[in-house]
Amino acid sequence: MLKLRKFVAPEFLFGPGALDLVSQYARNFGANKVLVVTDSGVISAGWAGKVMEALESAGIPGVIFSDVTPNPRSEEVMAGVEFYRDQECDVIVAVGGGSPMDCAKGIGIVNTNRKSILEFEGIDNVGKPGPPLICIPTTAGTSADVSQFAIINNLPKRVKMAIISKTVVPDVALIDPATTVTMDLYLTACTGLDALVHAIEAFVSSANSPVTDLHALEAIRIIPSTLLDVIAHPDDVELRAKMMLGSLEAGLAFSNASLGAVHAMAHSLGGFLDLSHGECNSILLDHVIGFNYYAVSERYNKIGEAMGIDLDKMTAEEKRKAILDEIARLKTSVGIVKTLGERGVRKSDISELSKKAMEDPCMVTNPRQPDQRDIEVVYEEAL
Amino acid sequence: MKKPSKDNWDDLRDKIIGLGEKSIRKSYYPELQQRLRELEIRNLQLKQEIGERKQTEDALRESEEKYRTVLDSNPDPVVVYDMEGRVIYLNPAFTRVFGWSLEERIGKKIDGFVPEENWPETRMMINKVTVSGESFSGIETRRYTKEGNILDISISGSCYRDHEGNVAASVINLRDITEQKRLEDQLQKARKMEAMGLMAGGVAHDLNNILSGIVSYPELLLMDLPEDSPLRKPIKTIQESGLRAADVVEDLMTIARGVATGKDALNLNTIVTEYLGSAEHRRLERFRAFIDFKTALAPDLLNLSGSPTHINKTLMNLVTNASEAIEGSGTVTISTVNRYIDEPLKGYADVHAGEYVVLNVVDDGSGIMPKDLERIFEPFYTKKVMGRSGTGLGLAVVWNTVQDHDGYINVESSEKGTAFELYFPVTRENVVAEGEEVPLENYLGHGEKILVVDDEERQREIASGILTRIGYDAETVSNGEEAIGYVKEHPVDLIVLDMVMPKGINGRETYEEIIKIRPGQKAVIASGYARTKEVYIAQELGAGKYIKKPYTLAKVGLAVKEELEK
Repeated sequence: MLKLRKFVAPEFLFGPGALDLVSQYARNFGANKVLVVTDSGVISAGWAGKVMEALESAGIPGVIFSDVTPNPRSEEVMAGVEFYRDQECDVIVAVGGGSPMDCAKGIGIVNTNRKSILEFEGIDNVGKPGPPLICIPTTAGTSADVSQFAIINNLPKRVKMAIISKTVVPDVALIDPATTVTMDLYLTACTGLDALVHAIEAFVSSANSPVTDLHALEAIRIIPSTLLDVIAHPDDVELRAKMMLGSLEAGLAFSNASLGAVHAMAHSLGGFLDLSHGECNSILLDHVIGFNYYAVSERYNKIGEAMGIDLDKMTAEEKRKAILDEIARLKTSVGIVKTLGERGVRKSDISELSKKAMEDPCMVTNPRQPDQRDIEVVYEEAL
Repeated sequence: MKKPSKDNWDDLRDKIIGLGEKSIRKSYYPELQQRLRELEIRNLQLKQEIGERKQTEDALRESEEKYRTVLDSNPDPVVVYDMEGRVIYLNPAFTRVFGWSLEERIGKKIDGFVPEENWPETRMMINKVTVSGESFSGIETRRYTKEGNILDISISGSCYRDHEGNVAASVINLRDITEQKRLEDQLQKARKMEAMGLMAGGVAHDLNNILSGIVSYPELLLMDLPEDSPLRKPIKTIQESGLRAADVVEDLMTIARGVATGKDALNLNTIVTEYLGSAEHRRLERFRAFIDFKTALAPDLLNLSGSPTHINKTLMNLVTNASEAIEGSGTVTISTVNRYIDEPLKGYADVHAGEYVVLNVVDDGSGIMPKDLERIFEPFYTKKVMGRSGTGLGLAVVWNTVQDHDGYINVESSEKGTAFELYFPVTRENVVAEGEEVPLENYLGHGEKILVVDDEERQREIASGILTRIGYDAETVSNGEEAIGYVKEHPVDLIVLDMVMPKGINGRETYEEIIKIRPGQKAVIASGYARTKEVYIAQELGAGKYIKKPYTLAKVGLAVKEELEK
């Protein structure tokens, strides 16, 4: 059935040397002073310094805000806003993974709308966009650099809240695959699987569309084998670039088709235990597919085929099992073997985790509408 | 925020697909557009406001200029104080009158301008305006000029309100009334002198009649008394006392204005010289042996038209006063000079432009206190002990004499002495030769018939007594009607005719009737008053010499003799 749809993506530059264009874009946005949002890991890797150098050589003053933890917290956002105002900045550059980029998105919209970051939770709840935002991703997975998602950790409520709004789509993404070389293997694995989950969830999302499907399937084709190759040859920039492309495709897909139960449940988990987002996704992925499979088996089968599984002549259940096996194999291959129980989740936490997952906006595009008990069962399986 | 639940699941999904969402990716642009529109509108408003403000400012400036022009052209000094009582404006009239320019007074308060004793009232007035917003007018006070002179001021004030109606300043109008006050004082002084003169004249007339007995009878008595009579000495004393009293009355009569009789051309130098040779002056010189009397008389001195008797008396009074002002030794200088005044002089009295002969009497005595100087010309105002040397009429006589001669007096006095300057208008007439002193034998009669007409019985007795004594055949009647009847029946050689007879027809009317009966009837006119208009008319009709009562043997004798010999 033909439907009216739209596709939102920022201007993005993909390829070597993209980072160096930061000063050109900052100048084009009329920057007088740039707030560079990053974290200590990215600073150590040297990418923040490179951005500052580029700005400096163009005569654009910049200040670094790096009080950002993985899963950025609401109070970090508010502190960033204060710093942005104190320093009288007018353009924001985010350099790093999902955390600095989501934090930068939060700083931008809070500064413009003069409201607490907590008030933007949900879908389309931001009135005005923030100041010009340039994103430079240094991981291949998050796709915050092209997405309309910002995930902020509401620490007091122990929940990760999703802000979904076109206003948080960056003005430009400078995607330089070379920046991902500095990731360690664990982070490479987590972010890589995160990208795969983006693609899978976008593809089966109830908000899917032909254009998002293209990107999602392409991502699913690229990521599994490339991730394994990258893990085997982490310094291979060509492979890193391929992985980055997969992540980008996945990002374009999920940013427009949204996600599903994996992310809803991962957000709940991440707020509860401060676990790595990629790892949460990875642990939950096969359990959610198991739960969703029969709702959209055709789509899952296509995913299986895109991953290179020969599903021909299989029964439905065989196909389901084949796909789940392939996912499990991939997880094991890249080193994600722990269960939720091993990561510290207790059975008594599941009810609360499920309740929160049910309230996550990502849940609404899950192909199968669960009730809380369904979610509790999936968590229990992942324990 | 709506949390996802089974009820809104589909709605939320549609929202994610996002066809109706309100935000867009680069919605910074609409934000900027909105700001730009707001700025443009604000810009327009500002332009309009600036225009309006400029208009208001122009109007304000215009109105300020208008007010400034009004104040600038105000003939009275105007000063404007702000709410702190500091000068913010003063007009050209202020600078003209008080000497300060705006630059010199701006920002200053009342000190240096308002005499300290006037501070409380001034503060009260300014408060009235600035605090209660009331105005006041016509309050008399005093202010300093830049030179430190004090001016009399009539002050009015009102408040200036800003466009919100709040009192913003006080506008003070200061009218210089120094000259006006001086003139008022002068007028008041003149009125006082006139009133006192009127009173003095009235008293003098009555006294004159009463004195006639004391002055005239002793003369007659002495003629009858033998040379060795023991009564001669007391009677002489009575006579002298009477004469002295008559002098006082004479002075009083002088104070009654318009009495200085005989406006003949005369020369001040003659009067000064004669005075210096007089018995009175010689007595003064004896009495005040350590005083040096000096003269400096202008040789070409012009004549004045006046009464020699009064001017002589004036001189005598001034010289006497001058010598009395000196304790121990000193100098009194009498000088005369011609002076032409081409611009009015402001002094004790104002001297108008014209030709004057000036009589100066200057002493180097102790001077007159300023407060006394104001009043020295008032009758009976004396610093001397009454009865010892003065009557309190000396300077009043001087004043009135000068006034009667249309002259002016200026007095200046300090610790180093006092100078009187008497200005008399010059006459171009020549001096009439004075008659020689006539001995008694020259006016003895030869039995000619004389009719004395007088309503006062004592006067009749005195006159007929004198006339009989010097050889005339005297008859008396007590009023005009009787006189007419008498003359109709009996021709007379001469009539001594009283002018003022209140009960019937007066002397002039009597004479008019008499000449109808006896054309060319000779007559001598007598009166206690000055030579009035009636006297002149009678003289026009043919009546002869005018003699002033009280009668004395010499006066009556000389006048009668002179008239009979015509």
